[in-house]
Amino acid sequence: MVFENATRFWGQLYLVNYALGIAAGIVLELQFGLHFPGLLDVAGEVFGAPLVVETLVAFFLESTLLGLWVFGWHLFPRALHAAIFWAVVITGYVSAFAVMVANGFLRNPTGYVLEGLPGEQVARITDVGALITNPAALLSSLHVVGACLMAGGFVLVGISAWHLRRSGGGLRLPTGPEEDLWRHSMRAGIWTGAIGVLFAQAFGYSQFEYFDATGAVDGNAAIGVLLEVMMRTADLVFLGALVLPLLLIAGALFRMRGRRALYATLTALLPLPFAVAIAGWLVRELGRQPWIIQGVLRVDEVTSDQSARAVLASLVLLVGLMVTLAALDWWVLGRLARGGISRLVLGAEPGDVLRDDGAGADVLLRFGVVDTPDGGAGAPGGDGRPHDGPAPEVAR
Amino acid sequence: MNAAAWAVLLAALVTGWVVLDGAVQGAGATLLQERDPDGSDRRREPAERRVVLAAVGPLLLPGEVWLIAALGVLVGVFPHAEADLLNAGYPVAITLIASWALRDAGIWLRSRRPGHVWRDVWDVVLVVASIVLAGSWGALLGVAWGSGLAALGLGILAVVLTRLHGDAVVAWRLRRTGPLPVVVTSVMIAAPVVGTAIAAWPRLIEGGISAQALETLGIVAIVVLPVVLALQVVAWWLVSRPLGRRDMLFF
Repeated sequence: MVFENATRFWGQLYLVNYALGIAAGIVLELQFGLHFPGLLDVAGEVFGAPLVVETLVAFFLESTLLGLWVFGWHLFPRALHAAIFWAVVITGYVSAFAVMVANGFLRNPTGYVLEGLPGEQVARITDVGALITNPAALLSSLHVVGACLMAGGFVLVGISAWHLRRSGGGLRLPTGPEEDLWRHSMRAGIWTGAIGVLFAQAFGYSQFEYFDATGAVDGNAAIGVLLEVMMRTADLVFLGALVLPLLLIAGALFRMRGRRALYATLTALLPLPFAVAIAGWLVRELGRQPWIIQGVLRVDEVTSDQSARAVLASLVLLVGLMVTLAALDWWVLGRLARGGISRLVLGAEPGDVLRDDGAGADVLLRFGVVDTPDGGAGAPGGDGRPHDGPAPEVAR
Repeated sequence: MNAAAWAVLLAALVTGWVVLDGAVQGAGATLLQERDPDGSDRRREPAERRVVLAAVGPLLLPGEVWLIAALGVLVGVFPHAEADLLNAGYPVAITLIASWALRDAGIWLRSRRPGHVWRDVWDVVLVVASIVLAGSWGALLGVAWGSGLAALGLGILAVVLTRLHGDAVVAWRLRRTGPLPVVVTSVMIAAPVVGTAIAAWPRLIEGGISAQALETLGIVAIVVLPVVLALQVVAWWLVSRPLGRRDMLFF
């Protein structure tokens, strides 16, 4: 029961967040051709290859699987349904790694050779292994994965803490299914975040190995400040990751005196890993300037021939749109997070969802709902065919 | 895989997108209109809109990924062709991205809050964004023909065809009699893509990467594509079922 609630509640937040990820990814994918065509002309083969793998392999699988997970909810057996989501997770990580291989090539180009006359040079892949094991891809991927796990941990902890602060609790056992969910999620979040910060820190510091070899990152004062903020935050989160698991012993975190103040602090800290992740990407991207490919190609050599006015107009339009959508998305996430497990749409019976939408009897009949107080359990399917598959995953 | 095989794959990916996502665009464009059996048009009730979104909902994620994959192939295998196409079609590419993001946001967010105002506003956004998305796509195809007139013509054609296709797919899922069968509208909506692929063929092949890199990437594609296709078939099976009580009304 608690796992079903957890899947539906956190799954719904995951999906709403996913929507913004797709929208932003579409913009990013077309950016190269629209505004940096010179990058494709010179390094299309090397930089583009990992993007082909990402889109054609990883994201294709991930998105299809996620669609099956959402819309096959009442059709697949429970174990298969859970396995589909793990496959979404794995393909998501492969996707992130492929993108980091492309980005790592820009930061620390290896495994390639420039061919052709000066001024018309084209990069060719000479060593696929070197491209993949590039420390700027491998170490940075593990760093990013750690940062993502840390952010996920903060989300689980921050939202669970918000609910626990309101529900009071303080007993040895949770008072009901809702508090049970928040306690489980708090534990899961603390462990996820602790593992995340270990990865983020270990592979964050180990990146200095190639930073030092390919040119300092602290040439720019702003980057130095951002880097310092990122490292000191990680140190503090690391200390938290040492203390919080200890508080899970005998459920102390859910019973101890002064827990409400701690819950409030944990909720207030929710945006922290996101701010630090943005700082991390700024260090990464600004640290490479003025190069688009470190030491090989400068940004001003690859920009498109579009007029400054056209580029400015598109920048204002797309940035304005994405910022608006992000704000709306976060607002919706906040409302859904506060709503808890009441009226979850993900995993609900279609008849219940439609009844909330004010559907008439004819529409409801299609979804197997006859207008009786028990809500149509055992009613014939609206499509007039017997359903002989596995039992619906979500019992009402 | 040589350049020609990659170009065929690219055309197949784009065709897959127009057939699958075209249904979502068409259903979005006609979200507010219902044609009653007597032939008169009226505004759809909120619950009816929800049923339409449920009918095409399972196509969104497995559908739009085809264009993302096609763009990935364009960037990674035909980078020079992509740079040329987007340079010539800059304004429609920008409206394509913007309307795509808005359409997606509309579908994902509209049912997440219960309020009438919230949903009604998103429904209008969804209608407009779906039409602009279809039109921008058609126009971008026209740019590949190298003519402004083709861009205008294919843009309008795409808007009309997606409406017919969306209607057909929704009618099929609800097991109603639609104006046209899904097979017919699928062929109609795919035809401009196939035509454009043939017309733009020489410039596409020229804009490719080295033969050796094509081979290496080809191995990856050949290994993974069967798995992708198998999963896609399961996704299509979800949609081929009549909409009923085992479906998920997430959108």
